[in-house]
Amino acid sequence: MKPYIFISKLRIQTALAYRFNVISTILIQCLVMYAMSCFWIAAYNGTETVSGVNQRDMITYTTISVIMGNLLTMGVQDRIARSVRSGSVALDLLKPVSIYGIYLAEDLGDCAAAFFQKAIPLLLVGTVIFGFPAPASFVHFLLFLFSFAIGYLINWILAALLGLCAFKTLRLGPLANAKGFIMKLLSGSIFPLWFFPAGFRRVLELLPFMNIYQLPLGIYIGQYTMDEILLRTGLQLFWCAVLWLLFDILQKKMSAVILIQGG
Amino acid sequence: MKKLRYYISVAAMFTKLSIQSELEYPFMLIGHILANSIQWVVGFATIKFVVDQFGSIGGWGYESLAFLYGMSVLSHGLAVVFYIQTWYMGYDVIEGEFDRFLLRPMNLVFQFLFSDFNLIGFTDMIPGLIVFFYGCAKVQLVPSLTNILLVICTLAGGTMIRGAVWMFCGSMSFWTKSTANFTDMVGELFERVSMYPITIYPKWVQAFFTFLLPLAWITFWPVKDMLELGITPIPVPLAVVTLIVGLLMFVGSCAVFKAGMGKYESAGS
Repeated sequence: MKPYIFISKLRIQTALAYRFNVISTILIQCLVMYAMSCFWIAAYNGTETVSGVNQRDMITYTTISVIMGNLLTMGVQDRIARSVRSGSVALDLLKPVSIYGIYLAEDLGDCAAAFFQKAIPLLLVGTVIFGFPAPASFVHFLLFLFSFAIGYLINWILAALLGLCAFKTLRLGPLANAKGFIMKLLSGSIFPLWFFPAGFRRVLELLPFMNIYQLPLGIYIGQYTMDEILLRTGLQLFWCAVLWLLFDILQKKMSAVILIQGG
Repeated sequence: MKKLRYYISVAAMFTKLSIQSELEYPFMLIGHILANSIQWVVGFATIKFVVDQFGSIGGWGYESLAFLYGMSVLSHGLAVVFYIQTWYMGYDVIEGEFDRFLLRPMNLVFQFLFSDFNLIGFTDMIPGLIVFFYGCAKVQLVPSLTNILLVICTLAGGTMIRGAVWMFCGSMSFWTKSTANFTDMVGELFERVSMYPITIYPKWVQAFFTFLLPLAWITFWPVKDMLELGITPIPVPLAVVTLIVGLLMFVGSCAVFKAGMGKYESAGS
């Protein structure tokens, strides 16, 4: 465990060195948060509830979603692509630790840094402009944390799976863009799925993406009943396990086809 | 005259070379078409679903939103085609890439503007056109000569406004000598004020983006005017105002670029 914790610590220190990056990210995220909240206020325009959700809930949803977005930034996919392209993946594989463990530790380190550098400032700004985004109850908050953690893992595995493509393609290019757009639009990070037509929603609920944003956020604002939460968290764990298995099989296959260029 | 012909031939050569180098990776191009189609078509679809639930937003139904969104994607695509080089100006300054421009006996701004013709930008135009024509059909826009001219004016003006803002941001590197990149921030801003009606924001925000940082002219005002969603006190079509704002921003951005080149000191090794 020690080397992984050390890597995470290194990442936190690196993140602290880039001040401009932090300030510009916070500015962009504040902008998104403000614009989306204005969108919901204009959409509700005095209406009490739409699809069982009220305006206050949607502003809370938006604020927490933006904060989550900053904690869910995944370096692993570019990290794998970069190591494969430069050939340094060979050195990584030689080390007496799991390389994917290292990559996960790096991302967790980034996440920890982002919590203090971005999440807390954004929470403060959101609170000042639109009021504190309170969870439905303390129990809901705890369930949210659990769901968020599983969502984090699913998100990480998806990013790592895409990263594995780099072993074959060497570059990710538009693949990474496509994945980013799918994640952004179909995970509930901007618009929650309950506003979508029933058929489309059912398809999305079968895919793993909604487990990353929509499920934890829905729990946070109290949109789900306890029974639903249990069922959906079960499904979320199922997805996490399936994706992990898939990843494990593929990563073993991929290490066999490594092509070292340069060096 | 001879000089003009020379400049045109150089521009054509630059463009040809850029296109050829892009075509070296055909799968890249196909990938971008797929990725951008997801981004814009699915992106619009999700907005439509939400607006359907609420009826309208800021006084706009999904029909007019489709038209607005389509226009926005089109001018975005055009700006990416013609102005992509502005995204990497920080790098160019630090690495001394502008040395090459200074060595050639040609106008600096001209060289910069034509140095990179980005074919990939057109991959935004395909989904852009889909949403745009869908919007045209939904708002029943008559394909009259006037309307076509208004659309062209808006797209030309909108493209120049976007490009000018990128160029202002990029030119800051001449003074700050840093590679700080504002592309993401500006992109987010463009999306928020050109794909959604700005009537969803408070009055002061609307005023800010109309008079101080004229981003509301990229799509909002000309589209509102074209769809006759309100009366304006200005006697000319607002698409013409967009074109004028675009031209002014273009001239301004070229001037800033030139001033910046005066500060350029070839920091590379």
